[in-house]
Amino acid sequence: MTIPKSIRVEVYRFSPSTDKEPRYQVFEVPFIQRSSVMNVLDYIHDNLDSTLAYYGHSACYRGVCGRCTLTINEKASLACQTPVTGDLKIEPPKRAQIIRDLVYKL
Amino acid sequence: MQRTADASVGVIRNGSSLEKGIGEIEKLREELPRLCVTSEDRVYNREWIEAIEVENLLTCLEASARSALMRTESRGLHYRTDYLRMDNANWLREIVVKQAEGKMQLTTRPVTATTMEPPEEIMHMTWDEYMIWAATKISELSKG
Repeated sequence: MTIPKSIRVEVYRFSPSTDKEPRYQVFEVPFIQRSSVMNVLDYIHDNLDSTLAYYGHSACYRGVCGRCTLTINEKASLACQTPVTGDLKIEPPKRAQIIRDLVYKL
Repeated sequence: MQRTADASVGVIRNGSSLEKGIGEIEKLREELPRLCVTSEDRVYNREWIEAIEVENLLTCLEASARSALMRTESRGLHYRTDYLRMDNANWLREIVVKQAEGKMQLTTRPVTATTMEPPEEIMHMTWDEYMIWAATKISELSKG
């Protein structure tokens, strides 16, 4: 299997105060082996689009607190515990009440 | 700020690293008014959260660096390569950082004892005397 140089990451964006409909934004992110989906979100926030909202600033990064629960490639997962193996589709959990982008009401 | 905190104010520090760190902190403080965010969203704006945090973190880091520079001894997780030993005679004290005329003012006071007072006899001991005292205490205790 060849190792990809970069991956295509599709991210759910929705700001209830300004948007009528959610949309998906596509990012090209370098593929780093042994990285997690949370690392990908951090990469996007630090380097590509710092307006992306996701729960990260006080999450545990260790799979304990559950605050980073998201739908990753159609499956409910913890972003910090999900290894990146290829292209990604990142959405909030199904039926969640959206605050902004990937941040939702618990 | 993370780089400064790690390189200059880590567990193993010394006078010159701390002075260098304080210089860098002062520079960051000057740059602070120019900090801006790109997102104007008032809802879960992480840039905004971090912009608020950074000012407070800088205050904590500066207080930590200044008191570490003042404390010319090693103690617990404060390990100074230019003052390797614990100095109870001079430093069985707390450092208090206050804001005075926009600057940090550092003073010391005796340690606040809650349930146990530190033994009176160690107050004026040198490090060597203290080590002998501690070893004697341990052997007395182990004899029961």
